Amino acid sequence: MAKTKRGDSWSSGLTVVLAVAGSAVGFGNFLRFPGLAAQYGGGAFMIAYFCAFVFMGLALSWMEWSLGRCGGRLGGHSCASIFTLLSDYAHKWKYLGVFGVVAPLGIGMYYMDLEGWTLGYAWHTAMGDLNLETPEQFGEFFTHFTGASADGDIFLKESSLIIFFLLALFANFYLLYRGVVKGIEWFCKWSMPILLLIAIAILVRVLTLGTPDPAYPERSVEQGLGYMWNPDKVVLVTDDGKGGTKTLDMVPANSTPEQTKAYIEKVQKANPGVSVRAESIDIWHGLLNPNLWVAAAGQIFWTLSIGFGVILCYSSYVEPKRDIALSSLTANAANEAVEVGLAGLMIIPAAVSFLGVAAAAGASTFGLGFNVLPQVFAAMPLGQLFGTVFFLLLFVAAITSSISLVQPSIAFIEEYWGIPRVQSVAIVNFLIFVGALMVAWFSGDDMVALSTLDFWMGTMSLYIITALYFIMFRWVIGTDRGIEELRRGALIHIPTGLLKFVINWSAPCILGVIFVSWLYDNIFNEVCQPVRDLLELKAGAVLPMLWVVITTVFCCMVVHTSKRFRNKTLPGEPTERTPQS
Amino acid sequence: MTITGIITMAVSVAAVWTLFIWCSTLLVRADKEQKRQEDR
Repeated sequence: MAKTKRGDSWSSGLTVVLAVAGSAVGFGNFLRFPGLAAQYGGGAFMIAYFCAFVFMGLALSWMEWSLGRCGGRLGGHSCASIFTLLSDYAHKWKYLGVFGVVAPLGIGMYYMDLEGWTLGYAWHTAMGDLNLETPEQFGEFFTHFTGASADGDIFLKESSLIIFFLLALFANFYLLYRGVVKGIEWFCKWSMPILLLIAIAILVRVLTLGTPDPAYPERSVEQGLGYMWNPDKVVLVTDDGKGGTKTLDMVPANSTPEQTKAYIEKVQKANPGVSVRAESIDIWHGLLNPNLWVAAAGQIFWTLSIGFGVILCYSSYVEPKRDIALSSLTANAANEAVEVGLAGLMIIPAAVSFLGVAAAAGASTFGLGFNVLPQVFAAMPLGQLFGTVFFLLLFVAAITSSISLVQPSIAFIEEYWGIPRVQSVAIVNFLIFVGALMVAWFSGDDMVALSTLDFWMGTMSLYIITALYFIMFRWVIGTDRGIEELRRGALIHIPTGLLKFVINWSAPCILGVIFVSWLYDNIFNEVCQPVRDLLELKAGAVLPMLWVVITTVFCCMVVHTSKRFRNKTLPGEPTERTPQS
Repeated sequence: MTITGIITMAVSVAAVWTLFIWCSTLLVRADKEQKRQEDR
């Protein structure tokens, strides 16, 4: 059997956990989860969230780890080679596996820009450039910095983004060039504990804020925590003019009916010209809301990095004797601890205590991170320090994710062409650089390139790849063999019967519902903006997608021309065994 | 914040941290054991 080289294996069980957790911890943990949990009412959302974790997330994650280690034992480290080896060299799987190489690369193209944003915001916060006053000024800063005013504006003097983007790209290049052990493992080993310490420090600061402005007694940490976690609450909303509602405030908890009425009147006075009405959210109504279940399951799917091809690649470097069941569980637990146990207590309370519920409610992921939170730090005592540290935290979280997104393609080029690491890193970084430059250039017109790549590569592709994993796990290698692989060296007991049921039935059904609901929302009910941009042939949508197509063709050519993984044995090649042998 | 809100928060946070600490303790112990065996 072809074994992975000793130098390409993780040095311990804990390091692979840190690497996978580092890959999973990112913007979704700190910015997306708190917004969703608050929107759907903490209690009901958390019940659905934990159900999705147990009945979908955990099984999907184990499935990907199992496929990865199984492929790694046979000598494959990328989705293409692993699919080829596991399918006993079936022709179609050779090319289907390319999806799992291109998708993370496509995500990496815009992730590199986001990394530049976080580094740039850390720098500008430290320099005091974000000591602004009005929300409009913060919005203007964001527009100028990201070059969102018009296409190509990142090359203007006002935008320093290009410098931070190049720094982020160089950092990625350096870490990836050093390899799995000396680069990725080394970085994750020190960066993840630092990330945790920074997050705890910010959490302590946020929880001790109290009521920062006595003129607004309802803007407090307690109100923020209540908005995030109370299963039963009364929110004050108004029509947003697009058929939906916009949250303006929340009635403080434990208010009497008289106090509630007085509070509604107060909010109505503060918002003249709009009709304010009270909406009750309670746990039972929440649990009967199908959108809540879809949102919770979708969050679990994204946050655990399932379908990115990253877990598949990282787990292929785990030695055959070592445990993967507990490692997977630990990586997921670390991700959940950061998401629920830190971000869930930190972001919304901070935003509510300075800006009120309206600012925190309904803010998009980027709106919360790069518009709302800078305002919070500007108003907070020692905010310059904590703001800088927070954006550095986001940068560390982003870089551990981006290196994991690029590593599968490097492994792919290395193993198919057999070229030195420096060359494969250079080729892949060139592909990333061109794509990222396009994303940065086409930042005008509502970040058209970023939203296009996020829609097609960061969302649609993940469903396709996860569906391929299911087919591979259930019908190609077989659920029994897959679970056997998971149990090899396992340090915890695996409930085989339950896991089989979850992998064969519950997880695909839940995922199918999420996918159909996503399709309905974005295509059938109303064609969403990224699809419209592509149909209207906007340059900012077409060119990055064209680059992704060119990258896909290039990867298919690599598969087609390589002599490796072509058939079972080749003279001079290590003997590769099929799973059946 | 309501009592149910406090309970929801406490249970959720405690659950994820307990799971993380339990898993990582097991993993660190297993790593140490493996290293000891390799050293022998």
